[in-house]
Amino acid sequence: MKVLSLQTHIEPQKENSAPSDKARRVFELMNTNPELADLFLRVTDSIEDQELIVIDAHPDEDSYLKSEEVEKLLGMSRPTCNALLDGGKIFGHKTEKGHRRFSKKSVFAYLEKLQSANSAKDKFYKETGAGDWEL
Amino acid sequence: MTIKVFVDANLLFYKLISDLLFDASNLGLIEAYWSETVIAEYLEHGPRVLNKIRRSKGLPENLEAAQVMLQNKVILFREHSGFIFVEEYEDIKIPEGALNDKDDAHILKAALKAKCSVLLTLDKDFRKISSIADLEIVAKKADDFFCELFDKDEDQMMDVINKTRDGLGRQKGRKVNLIELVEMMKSGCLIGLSQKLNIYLHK
Repeated sequence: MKVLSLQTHIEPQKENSAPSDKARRVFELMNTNPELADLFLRVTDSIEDQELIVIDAHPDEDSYLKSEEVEKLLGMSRPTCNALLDGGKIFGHKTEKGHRRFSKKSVFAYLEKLQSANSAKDKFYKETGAGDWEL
Repeated sequence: MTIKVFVDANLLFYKLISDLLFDASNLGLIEAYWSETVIAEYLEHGPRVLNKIRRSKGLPENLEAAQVMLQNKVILFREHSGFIFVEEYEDIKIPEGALNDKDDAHILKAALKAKCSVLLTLDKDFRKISSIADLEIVAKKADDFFCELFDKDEDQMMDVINKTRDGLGRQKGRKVNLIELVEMMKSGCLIGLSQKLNIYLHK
């Protein structure tokens, strides 16, 4: 899954505008706003690749964590944290400069899931004494 | 890109291997697949295999307890490993004579349906499929596979190893150090990985 964020300002749609006006507006926006044009191309690429896309029109920096913060929080290396984001186990996005930003909510949800898996595994070995059974 | 692997039932009898697979899947290092038929084989052959292991350890056989243990392990992996079920693979075609045992075809078909590049198994028969390039899948032993992951990204593999070690520590009620883990790997069919970890520790 790829999460794309849009950090640009779009004028509100005027009422009763004809489809041709809309098309002209889109064309003008693409011409005058390179960030929007880039986003549009990334969206079409993702659709071609059949990837799930989330467009966050109002990314709130407070709700995202930097890589080093996630490393400390999860106690894992940078490559593992990046793999979790790139593989869709944690949601987030890349900034224009290519830095990864991790959704705080998603990081905590992942951490909770991981702790739950740990507890279930501990419980399994404790209750079944599987150590005596396995190689 | 995450490696897609199909896990054969016979690996689940090895504690350290199954723990590492469980943790590697949860840490996003691998995308692991299995099927209902793999589980059915594990539950069918499990009691005999487990009681043989118990006998080798000088412990009395216990069929009922073995079944409970196997069922609980399946539940654990179903709910918490992140392993993905492959379904509707019966129509997948495999070359004539690719396998000695036709009863093993379901494993290869499911692995191909999931587009796995690796089939993890202890079954030597499957290793022959590595010569069939058209299938774009190779069968590997868990030890060789983990060694390759270690070579590919040491940091990621060490995260998995440390997570498994932490789990073993909680089960034992004391901290398990990596030197101890090297010894456990040697006796748990992970000789290659134990050597890699040993070299890492003495760097």
